[in-house]
Amino acid sequence: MSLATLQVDEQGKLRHLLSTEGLSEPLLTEILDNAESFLPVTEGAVKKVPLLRGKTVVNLFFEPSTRTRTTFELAAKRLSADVINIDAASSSTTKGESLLDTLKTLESMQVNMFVIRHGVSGAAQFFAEQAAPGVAILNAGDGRHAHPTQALLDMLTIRRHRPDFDQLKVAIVGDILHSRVARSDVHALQTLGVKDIRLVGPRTLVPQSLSSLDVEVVHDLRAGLRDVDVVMLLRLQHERMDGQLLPGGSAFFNSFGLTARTLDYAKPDALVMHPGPINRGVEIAPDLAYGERSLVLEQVSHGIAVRMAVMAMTIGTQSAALQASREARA
Amino acid sequence: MSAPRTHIRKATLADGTRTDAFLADGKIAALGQAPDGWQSDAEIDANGAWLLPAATDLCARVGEPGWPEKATMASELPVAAAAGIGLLCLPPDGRPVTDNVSVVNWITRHAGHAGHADNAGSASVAMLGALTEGHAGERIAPLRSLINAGCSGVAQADGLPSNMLILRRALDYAAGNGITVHVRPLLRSLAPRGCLHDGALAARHGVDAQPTSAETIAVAALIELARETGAHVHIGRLSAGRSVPLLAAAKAEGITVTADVAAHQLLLDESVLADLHPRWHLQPPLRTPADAAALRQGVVDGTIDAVCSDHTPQDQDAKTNPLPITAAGGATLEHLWPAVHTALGGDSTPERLQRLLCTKPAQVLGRGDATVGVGSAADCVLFDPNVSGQCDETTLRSQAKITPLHGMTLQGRVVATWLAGVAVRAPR
Repeated sequence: MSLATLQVDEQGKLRHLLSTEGLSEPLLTEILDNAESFLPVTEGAVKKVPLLRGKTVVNLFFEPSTRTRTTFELAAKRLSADVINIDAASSSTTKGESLLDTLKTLESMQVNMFVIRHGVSGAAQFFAEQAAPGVAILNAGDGRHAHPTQALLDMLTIRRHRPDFDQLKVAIVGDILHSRVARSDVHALQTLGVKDIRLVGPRTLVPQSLSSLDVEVVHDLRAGLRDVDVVMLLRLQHERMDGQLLPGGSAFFNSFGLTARTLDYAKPDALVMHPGPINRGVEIAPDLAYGERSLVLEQVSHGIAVRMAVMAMTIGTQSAALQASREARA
Repeated sequence: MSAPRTHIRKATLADGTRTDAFLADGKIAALGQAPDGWQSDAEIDANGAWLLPAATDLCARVGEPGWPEKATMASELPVAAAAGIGLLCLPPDGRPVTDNVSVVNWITRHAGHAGHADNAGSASVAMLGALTEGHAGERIAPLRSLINAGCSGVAQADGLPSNMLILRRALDYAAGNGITVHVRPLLRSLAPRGCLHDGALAARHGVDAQPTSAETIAVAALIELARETGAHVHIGRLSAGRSVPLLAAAKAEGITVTADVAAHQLLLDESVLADLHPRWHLQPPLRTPADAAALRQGVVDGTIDAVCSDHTPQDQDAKTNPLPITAAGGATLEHLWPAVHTALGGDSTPERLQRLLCTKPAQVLGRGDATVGVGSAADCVLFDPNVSGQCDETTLRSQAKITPLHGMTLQGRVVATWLAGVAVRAPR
């Protein structure tokens, strides 16, 4: 089954969230609208709505994560779900239990949703194909393939500053080859109408084959940043590099690190984003990381609202979600 | 089992002649006119179908030794026979590896027993010994002993050893002993964990890829080492179109290299992998339509000598995971003949199928000429090129039920096989 038909049911309702690829523009916009409506909940004095009361959410993380797991956990708790965190790297899977057995065992405990992070591309799709009807799978990152909630929070962050997506020029800079965030951002940006997307980095990290995503591949930072409205930096994923993709030392920063000087090639009011964690002095100069044009911390707080929206739309109901958020704002 | 006297009417031979064939005492007793005093035990009207030698499959795994839950000799050898394959060549990468005489003897003994239980008729087995101990690429295995024990050649079935000096010395040794060395052309260091072709699909899905150069560099290296050592190197299971001109140039220079390709590489390309279904996780990976076309052209013009099944039985468990961590390979044995015929389309002739599936692979293994001629062994297949059928993996006869050919409409069908004159599958 294709990703698109797997994650959306016959009525057009979100069944799982596996990838931003194949999500329609109306559905993507609906997620962002719902997330926007949850922002007051996340910022209010009582940060709780009862949309997922009685539901059980399992965070099943086969890879270490602090930031993503925490925001998923907070999102579920703010929707009143019961949340269980399983560090699968130290669970029965290391004793030889297969992924399918792990899923089926937990599923038999009447779990409503699995938030899954796994190091293999395609893992979320696999779980969605195997899951019982009514059980939702949220992809919290699968290999280098997709990290859809990160892309959605990036879109929400951009939209709150620059809602005119079809006019935007966007540069995604850094280790695209190993980045599930970059792939998900590209699909989401394209769906929302961005026509000028540049993937910027050295040839070893931005191979030409990525131009098959209908983007421009650029191997020069200044050319890549020229006149862009948004600069999306990526973490240089040391742990994913098993060959020597770059010379050591400061080679990357010297050619592709974002500094005040290189940022001058972008538009004067260009936004700077980074999914974190930041390697200061590698992807970005320390003074820019939390500078006035940086949206890094805003991205993190948007992450909770986006994850609440997706959870509400899959195992809550859309109308209830909107009702609850209206009440929270009142 | 005594061989019945069989009269096959109106069969088309490799040279295109249409004639009657008479099988008796396990041999082809006559072509054209019946021998004096002929009395048939069985008669079949071929109605123009092609009567060709039973195929020799240069690469097929049967689950043993090592993975009886996936398949066994008892499950696969009768299936091969019914599919028109008389001889299966097993690579040495079982568990344990075929790197010593006791493993050779174990395989010989078990292959001899397979198929007897139901009297179904059963393909024979040829073995390749491991080129290096444990298949690890570090120390040369006892090649002469392996050949003496019954191996038809030796192999490094999972790519070039990392130590190329060992490979060169092993080829030198093999050349001095007249041993053919089978190698899968893969430079592993260029493709760690690569399970898809290095192109748009792998880029989109973020899956480790295997670049074309991981194969072509290996092909070039093997050609150069064959040139220097004089060894007969058989390059098994090509996947890259760019390998074909390298081979053509080597052959034009008289270097002793031969090559094969799996039938599914001629029929399929990476486009079937759009949803990353593990059914199409194969090694080598499926590449582009242009690669498949170049491989087909290489097969048609003879640059590629043979087509094999690369049958690699997998059970459901081995394929129930996200693609990158599933086991590669599928069950391709029983559709070898129709797969090749379908892939070649208008270029498929009885002569060409005989060359690709019978004559050349038998030569690579040092067997005699595989032909349908008076006095030759009655190991033959009746292939009807004019019927078609859909490959449905739920109806596979192999113990393994997952095949990359699933859902394809294949042209042609093996309607009967005779091994030593005994019908394996009764004509329908």
